[in-house]
Amino acid sequence: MLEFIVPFIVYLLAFVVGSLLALLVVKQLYPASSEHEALADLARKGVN
Amino acid sequence: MNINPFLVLLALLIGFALTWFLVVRKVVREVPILRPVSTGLDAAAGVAGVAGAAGGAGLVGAAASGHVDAPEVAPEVVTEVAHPVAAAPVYDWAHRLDAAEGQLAGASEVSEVSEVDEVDAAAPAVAVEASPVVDAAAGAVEYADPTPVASGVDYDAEWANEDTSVGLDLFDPEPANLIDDSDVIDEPAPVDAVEEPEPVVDAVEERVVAAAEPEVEVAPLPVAEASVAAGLVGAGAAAAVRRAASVPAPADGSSPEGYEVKGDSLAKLYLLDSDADFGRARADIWFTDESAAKDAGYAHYIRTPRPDAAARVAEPVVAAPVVAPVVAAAAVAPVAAPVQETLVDVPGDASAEEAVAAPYGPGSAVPKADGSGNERER
Repeated sequence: MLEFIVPFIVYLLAFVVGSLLALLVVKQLYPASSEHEALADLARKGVN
Repeated sequence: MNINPFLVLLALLIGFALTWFLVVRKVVREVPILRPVSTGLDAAAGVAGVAGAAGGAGLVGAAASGHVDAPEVAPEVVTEVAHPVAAAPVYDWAHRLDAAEGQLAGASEVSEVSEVDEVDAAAPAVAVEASPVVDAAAGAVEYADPTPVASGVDYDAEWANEDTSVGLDLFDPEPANLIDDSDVIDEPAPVDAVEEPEPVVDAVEERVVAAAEPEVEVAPLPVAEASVAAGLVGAGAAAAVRRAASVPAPADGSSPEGYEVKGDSLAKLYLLDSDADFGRARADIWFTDESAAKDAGYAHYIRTPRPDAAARVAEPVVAAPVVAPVVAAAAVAPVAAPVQETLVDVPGDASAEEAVAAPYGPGSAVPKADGSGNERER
């Protein structure tokens, strides 16, 4: 049983790490993911 | 308990790929338009710069004459002096939300769409009594000045012009249209001097003589002569024609003697006596005849009835006297505004209840008496 669970958790962790990595990259590429965020961005930049 | 490193790497890659596609798809769906709308924001954000640019663009002489003509301010100048952030691409919907946000907050945003019969009388008054800075900045400042929001907003026109007026709402690239004629009209009019313009050479010579012989007392040049000397012959003469052919509307709302055409200086539209909406329209300028209004750059306002107007129970609304001439042209020529036809169309089986709930088309609502938006519709 343990021989099955441990690799499974390791693979799962690898999956989660990959997901977090993708989230970070997307966050860098797309500064805003919603209108609300973008409006807040504009306000911070002093445009709106 | 053997862990295959390739499988670990594979799991990581799968997690990366799935999350990437899901998130990017979500982002793209929520932020669909990534086109720059810097022109509109230029006018809004770079107001102080506009005034400075007007002064720095060689308009000092013209400003000293007390008469600034619109074409002197090039649109490029306005764009260049805008807020640096405005030059960067921003999201279109940020602009689209402007009107609604302004309505809700009761913000002092210039309303680009006004109803002829419901516009608050304070709005044109503010435009007319503009500060000298407005003159110097040739109208661009006027748009950014806090001006009371018109009490009614035609959502049809706003949405119909959405595609074309992202920048035009706040900034008209044609400088002449940024000028409020009424402030020119309010000036003391040296009509005679303009009608018989002194040659430029004479004016210059007169100045030279005055400089060479300081003991000779030379009266200051009238405004029109100064304009001529400053090389503003064409624009100055046009202004003189407008003065002769139009007068500001009396405060009591009566029609001046000899003037039969109503004009809306904000919308740059005029109405004839034969027009159905003539009686209800608010005039802030009167013209002697239609040709005078056309000469002044005004367009004939013709209301285009909605196809399903009979099915609506909503109150009668005069649609789309708007600021930008492009928009005005769309109102005059219904063929030129197919988008409007599409957007305002209500399904044929719309009940009277729906018509009341959304009098300007699906998703619209009647503004409150103070001009703010309907909370429920948000």
